[in-house]
Amino acid sequence: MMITKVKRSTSAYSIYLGFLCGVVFFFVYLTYNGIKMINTDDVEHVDKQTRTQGRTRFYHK
Amino acid sequence: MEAFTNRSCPKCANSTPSFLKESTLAYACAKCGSYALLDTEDKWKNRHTFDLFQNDSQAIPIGTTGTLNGLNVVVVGFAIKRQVGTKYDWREYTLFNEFIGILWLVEFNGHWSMVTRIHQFPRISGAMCPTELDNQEEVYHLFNDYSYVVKYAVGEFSYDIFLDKQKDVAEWVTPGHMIIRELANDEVVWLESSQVSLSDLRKFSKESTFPERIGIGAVQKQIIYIKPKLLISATIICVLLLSLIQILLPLPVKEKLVYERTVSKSDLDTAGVFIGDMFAVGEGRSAVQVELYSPLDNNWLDIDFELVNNETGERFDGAKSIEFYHGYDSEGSWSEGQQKDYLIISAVPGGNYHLNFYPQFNPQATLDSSFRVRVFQGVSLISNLVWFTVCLAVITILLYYGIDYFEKQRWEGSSYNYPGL
Repeated sequence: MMITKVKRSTSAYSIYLGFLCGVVFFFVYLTYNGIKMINTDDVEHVDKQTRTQGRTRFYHK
Repeated sequence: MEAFTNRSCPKCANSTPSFLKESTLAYACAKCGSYALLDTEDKWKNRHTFDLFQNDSQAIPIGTTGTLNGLNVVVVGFAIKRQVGTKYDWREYTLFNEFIGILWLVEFNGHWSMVTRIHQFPRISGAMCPTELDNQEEVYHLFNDYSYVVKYAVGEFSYDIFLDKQKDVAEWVTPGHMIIRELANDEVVWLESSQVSLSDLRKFSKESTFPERIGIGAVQKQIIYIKPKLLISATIICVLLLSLIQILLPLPVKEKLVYERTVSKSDLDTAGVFIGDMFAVGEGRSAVQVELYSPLDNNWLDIDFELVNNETGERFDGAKSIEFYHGYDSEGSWSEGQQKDYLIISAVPGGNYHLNFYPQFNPQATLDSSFRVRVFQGVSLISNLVWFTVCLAVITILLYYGIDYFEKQRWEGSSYNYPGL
């Protein structure tokens, strides 16, 4: 009987490679959609025109 | 696996099932403790009598049949062995498989491993007991070398367990696997050992109570074990791939200047507001950079603004303070702040937009005080690449040190120093 080649846990490798694939896909998604992962800039997103809300008055061109 | 016949103890005539049949060379009786060896004339000769009180730790009864590590086996013998000069005992269950023959199930500190014989052993050059063995892309490090004696035995054996009274053993490990060399009476036996999970053992012997695990076993597998070289190279490849994506990925919105305007204090209406002209941001979503510049000289400017979608009313409110001071003191010239700054607005949908500005000038500012605004669509987000690289580096370092910590724990059971990853 030959010495067995060490059977590494394939799940650990699969999970790590899966994780890296997930990282790549997430990065592509952010890059393609122009999403800044951590935005420290002072920016607030308001979905709809709301004259009474927000920091400043709303002017519609 | 059925026992064909019953075997009777040559001393007390206690009858037990025989699994090894004609292959039996030695037999230890569970009732009287006598250990008998078959001589060349096929007669049993008593060699030793074990103290039956020694057997206080047999977890799996002889005759237990089932599957372990994919092999159909039956327990035919049991022995307690002790490292010479220490009080370290381990338990060894002799198993029989119809195709492989004899193999062993070993328990030490609650850690279980399967030991099988190998006939193609590693090449050893130089030292009799080298600190490293190379085998099939794995490096095995010398883990222990010791001698042992048999303290207790029961059941059938296809060999004399007392051969030469004492055996010299050397063990080399790589994470999750061990190569063992036994030297006795000019005979060299090579074995390999791999972990047996407790869940497999519970299925194998449902009635048994298994001892609790202490520490990390010599062949215990790490759940998250990834070879350090592979871990590091996979992370580096991933970062390179992200860099390529950052450079080469075609974005739906091309980077370009879409709006530029210089706004003076005199341009503001009576409410202090300036409403900019309409400009278009390309279809799709993109990061928009709003760059603000003012030729400030020891002065400040606060700018609140709204980027407003003319069709939907969707709004992005932003604020930026610009200040620039400079002068001379005893240490020479100094400056603080800057005249130009920018902020990024994430995922701005395509469409027609305009900007509303609510600047706060220094009350002492003159009417010709001004600032320039430039808006770029589809700007590249290098900060994402930086954050991803940092996160991947942190995860890789944590995994590396986790693996390293586990291996250090494993090597606490060794008489040699931890060789490192």
